[in-house]
Amino acid sequence: MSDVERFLARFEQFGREASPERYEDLFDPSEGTVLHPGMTAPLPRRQVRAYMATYLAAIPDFLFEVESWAERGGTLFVEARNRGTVGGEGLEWRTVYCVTLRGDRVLRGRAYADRVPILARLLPDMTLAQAAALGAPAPGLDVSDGSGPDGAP
Amino acid sequence: MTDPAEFVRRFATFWSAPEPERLSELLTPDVTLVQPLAPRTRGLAAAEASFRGLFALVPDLRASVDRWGAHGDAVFIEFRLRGTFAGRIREWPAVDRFTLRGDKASERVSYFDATALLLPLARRPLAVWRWWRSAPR
Repeated sequence: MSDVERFLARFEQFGREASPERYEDLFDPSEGTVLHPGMTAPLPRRQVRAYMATYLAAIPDFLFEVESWAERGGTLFVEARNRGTVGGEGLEWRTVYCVTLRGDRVLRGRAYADRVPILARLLPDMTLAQAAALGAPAPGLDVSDGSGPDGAP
Repeated sequence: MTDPAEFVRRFATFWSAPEPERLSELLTPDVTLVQPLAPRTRGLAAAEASFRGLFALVPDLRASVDRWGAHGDAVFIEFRLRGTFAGRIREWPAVDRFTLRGDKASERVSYFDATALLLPLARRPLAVWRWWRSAPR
């Protein structure tokens, strides 16, 4: 079994039975990091257990299935179909994980998903400005203030 | 079975100077497009209409490929979109997952977090409305 296959098996197990401990176990013990939507900087492994505990507190029945994956040049893409009860109703959404492995553990992970449907369920009274603030982008979203030649509205 | 590297090359070429009329170089006539913030579209004409609306909103929108991978008929492309709207140059990362049929894609699902784009879009409600309306349902 290859490192990719071992990682996918562990990741699918996490998807069936999500827990902070299983999540932490996906990462390289010394240098693993992950960047989820809304984070402004990668989260080190020592903080991922707390992150997942918070996530599962909001969506206790969260689970996912791997729908497709691809690997090339040390980068693994994994597309997952997620399910869970959000704001009192069942919701299904998808995420793509873009992962660099060290052995069979995540060295650098990044998740791509749209949080708008989830936030709309969790915080139905949230204003647009509040939602945008929660969407603090990864570095680089606002590249300029529009005063230069490329900045015309 | 098409060479996925060739598809990725065409994707990068398209996004270096994107024109809706050239989507047919990448997409099948019955293609399905799924993306945040905009309705799902089906068919090349609907895809072209949606992209026309998008480029009316962000005329200088471009993309550059960072990484990609392929397995079976699935191709994943991680890339960065960059363009000006609501008075600022904005850049955000995304992943597109394509399902290939022959040398073109019959499905494209786009993954990115639209949360941070909500406020800038809200500052251009008329333009957003036109974009939204541009995609036939």
